[in-house]
Amino acid sequence: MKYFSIILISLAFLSCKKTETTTVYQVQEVFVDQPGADKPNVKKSTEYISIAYSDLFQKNIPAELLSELTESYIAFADVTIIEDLIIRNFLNDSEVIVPTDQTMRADIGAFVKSCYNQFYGREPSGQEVWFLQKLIEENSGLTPDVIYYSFLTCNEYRQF
Amino acid sequence: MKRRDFIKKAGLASAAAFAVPYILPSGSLFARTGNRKVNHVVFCLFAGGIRNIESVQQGESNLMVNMLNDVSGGFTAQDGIDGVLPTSPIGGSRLQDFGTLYKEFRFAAGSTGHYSGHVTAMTGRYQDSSLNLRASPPYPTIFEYYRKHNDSSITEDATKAWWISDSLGPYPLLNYSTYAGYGADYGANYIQATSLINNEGYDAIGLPKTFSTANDALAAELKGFCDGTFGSQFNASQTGVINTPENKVIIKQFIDEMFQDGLAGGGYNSWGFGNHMNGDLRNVFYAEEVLKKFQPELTVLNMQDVDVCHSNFTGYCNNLRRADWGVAHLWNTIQSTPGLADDTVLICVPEHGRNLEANTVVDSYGRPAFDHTNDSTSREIFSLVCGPSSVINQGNVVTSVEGESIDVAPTIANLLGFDVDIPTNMMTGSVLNSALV
Repeated sequence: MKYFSIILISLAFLSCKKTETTTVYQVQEVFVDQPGADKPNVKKSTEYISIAYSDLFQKNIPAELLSELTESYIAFADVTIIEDLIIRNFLNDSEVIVPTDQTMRADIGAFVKSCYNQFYGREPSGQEVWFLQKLIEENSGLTPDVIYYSFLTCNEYRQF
Repeated sequence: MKRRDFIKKAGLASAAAFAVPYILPSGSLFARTGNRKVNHVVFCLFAGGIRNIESVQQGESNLMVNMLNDVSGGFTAQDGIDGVLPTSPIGGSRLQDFGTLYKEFRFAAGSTGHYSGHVTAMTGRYQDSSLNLRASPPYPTIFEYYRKHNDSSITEDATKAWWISDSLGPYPLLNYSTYAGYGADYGANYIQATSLINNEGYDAIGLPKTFSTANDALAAELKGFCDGTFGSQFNASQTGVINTPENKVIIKQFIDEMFQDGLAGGGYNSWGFGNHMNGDLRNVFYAEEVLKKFQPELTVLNMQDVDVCHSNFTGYCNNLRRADWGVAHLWNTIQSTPGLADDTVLICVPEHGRNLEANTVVDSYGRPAFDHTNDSTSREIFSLVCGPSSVINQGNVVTSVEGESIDVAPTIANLLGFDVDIPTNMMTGSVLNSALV
């Protein structure tokens, strides 16, 4: 009995092993992508004008107008100035299609996402939605045409 | 580190800081080190191809009565060659009295073509047959030398340099080159005004939407955010010459002012040319408006209407008379503009001449026409350098063969005080020292 007890106690000790867990520290892979990635190409003057016109008027630009605008583009060195004037001229046209302020403010988040999809061909990042939504909410005088102007004269709009 | 070692090393570091050149914000190692002689240079490419025979030799009588003294009698009206022009903008004076006239200047090498001639004059290098008429020049233009080898106030301000051309075609390509280390960052502002300031241009960009000041600020904030997000992908090399936000406002004001002037009939219509106004004179007008608005330190403009000489010699003579009048008006505007008056050098040079022998075309007055195809006469040109008497030799006439097209750019660099900073052998001409006091 004594020996049996000793054996039992020994077995108990032997079976009580300290379980060692191996902890492995790793970095979880997260794909980091800058918004607007993979747009290395610059639009030519005719492309910029044509696409901007289509985005604002929802139709193709007349050939004669494209020719006139292209000549203005070539006739001045700082293309950003001419682009600025062209876009502002488009926005001053009675046939331009821009949402009303009421529509924009009825669902600002949806408006922001539609801007990025329409002009940049992509979904906005969380930060981008937050920034623009906040800007609209905090500025009651900020109108959709101002936002459209900003998108159309930003650097990302010039590239694809 | 022991105290003695620290002091020793700190002292050495300070000494090194004084010895190493100070790197300017513009990236230049040195600010302009030369001494400028004037603060403004206007270079008029009296272009289109002008023979010395009709200009300084006055073979058709003096067709350039505003720029040149009479050789043997003044202007004599001929069949078809305009008898009357508006009153001289400089009274009874002749421009050559205000400077140095080189009667035997040369376009010594390269094709006697308009683009080749322009590139040569604006880069200070002759071109060879590899020159691509559809590309920017391979070597830096005088604009790039001026803006790069200069103080940051100039390097960072593109409105200090302007190129005003009479037509599109390849000429918009001349405001900067493809040379590594130069390029658009140092290019000139450029305008071809008659292509922009017209009815079609007004319809295109003349009626921009204006936002409130508050909304303009919000637009700038949004653009700043979007551009910052897109920053690393932005292909800046494709945007060409860029102006500062402050200068963009001024430039847009200028464009609007020009449209308003056009809507009111065009200021040049007060010059008295009526139906005889031409593209050269309009380009002079817009060059003058640029000068008055921005007072650039370096301005280049051209005129080319004389090139009708390929088929119309009478028209060539008439356009030469108009170009002559236009240059005098330009000079008068310079001398009437505070900030430019008595502090500007005006240089006039044809880009090349025309052939000695006529082609087969005869105009309606029976006069034969002339091309420009590399013969010796097409390489004979003149040059007129006018300016303050403290800088430019007055009433000086050089009758020997002296000076070349490639000498204009180095002369401009010398006048504006940045020639010593241009790397050796970039420009192959020499300063026109015989014109300088």
